[in-house]
Amino acid sequence: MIELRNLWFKYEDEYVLKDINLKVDKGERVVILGINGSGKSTLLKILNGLLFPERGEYLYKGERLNEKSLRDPKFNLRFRREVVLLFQNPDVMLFNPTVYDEMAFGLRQLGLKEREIKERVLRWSEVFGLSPYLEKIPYNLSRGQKQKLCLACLLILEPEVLLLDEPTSNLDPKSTGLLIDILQELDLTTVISTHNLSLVPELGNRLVVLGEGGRIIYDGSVDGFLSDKEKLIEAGLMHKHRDKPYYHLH
Amino acid sequence: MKDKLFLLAYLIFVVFLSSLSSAKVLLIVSLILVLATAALPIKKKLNTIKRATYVCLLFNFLVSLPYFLAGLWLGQDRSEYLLMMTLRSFSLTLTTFTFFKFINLFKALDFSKNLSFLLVIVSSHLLTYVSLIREFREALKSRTMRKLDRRTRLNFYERVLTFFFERSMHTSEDLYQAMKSRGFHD
Repeated sequence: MIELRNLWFKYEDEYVLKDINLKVDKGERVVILGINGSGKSTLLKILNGLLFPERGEYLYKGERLNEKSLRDPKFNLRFRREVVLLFQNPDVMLFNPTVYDEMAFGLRQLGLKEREIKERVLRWSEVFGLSPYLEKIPYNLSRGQKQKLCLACLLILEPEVLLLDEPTSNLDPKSTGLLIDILQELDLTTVISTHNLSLVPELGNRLVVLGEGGRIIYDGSVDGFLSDKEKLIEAGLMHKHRDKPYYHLH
Repeated sequence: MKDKLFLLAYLIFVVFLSSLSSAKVLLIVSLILVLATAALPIKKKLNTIKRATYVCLLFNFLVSLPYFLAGLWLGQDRSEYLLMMTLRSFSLTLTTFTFFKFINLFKALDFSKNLSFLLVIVSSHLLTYVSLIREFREALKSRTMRKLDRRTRLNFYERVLTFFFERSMHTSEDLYQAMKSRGFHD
């Protein structure tokens, strides 16, 4: 479904992603793990066609994805509906006057009739517990509600690939639990980035670890990685304190 | 020390440029500045010149041109003024962009605690805001499947402006409390 081949990406003069090779099949649940600044968000933005690599290529369903292909209105419409990204900061995704309009934003672009839009908005707002807020201003909601609203705005489009950038990073434990429940019920291809090791087993079944140098240092099962001390240290996810002689996780 | 000297030289040069009122002299100075920028060992020379041109055009569009048009309305010919202001704003902008390739402002202002403190606050705000604006634009792009209508675009810009206004208010309040807690207002 998604394939990255020998992909290199740089900001200014520094490569943040180096020689990335990644193939994600339909229905897979992939977790991208790495410390802050390891290139997780950049990788997700590349997968969403927002950033384009310096070298290498990105194939979506066998079609090469680049700036030129996204300039084709038909391809852009299909790609943007099928591959959606939940940003780390939900505030940047919300700009419509009401929660209802926010959820209807994508559907209106698809040219659906207002009756069908209403039906879908009501159904998805029910799923996410947003029904009481439909006439409210989206940016006045709580952080957890905003996150749910953003996710609802994406899922209402019935996408095929869901990309999530640190979806639990700003949530309290209760909201994190609710979000994980929702994600586990989805039958979608998902790529989720996180730096939180403890959440990895709940978020996916395949783990891709980005090292500090912007390269993939592990691609395999979650358990395989968690039992590999060398890899954990290499990824900067295991460390020792000055006063303790042994490595440990937080 | 190098940074302080460069900053001093920059300030003197800015005063000199501001004192020039002859379009001919400003034209010569602008040409010399373009050549100097092209010759200096700095990255993205062409980009620097382009950015200076865009800033100058923006300034002209917002300030000089309305003044010129107001002159036309009143029956006055202000074309010489327009040319002088264009050249002056271009040379000042290019000077600023070029000089600041060589100046580390943090080092240049480290003689004053207050100025350094202010600089850290301003630059951290700027960096945060620039990155947030980028995020807003990317999020909109990510959700855009067709060309957006004017109302939607207006909603977006209105939201971005409100967001930054609210954020500034919030940050200022935080800052005020932080400074108060460190004894600034006692």
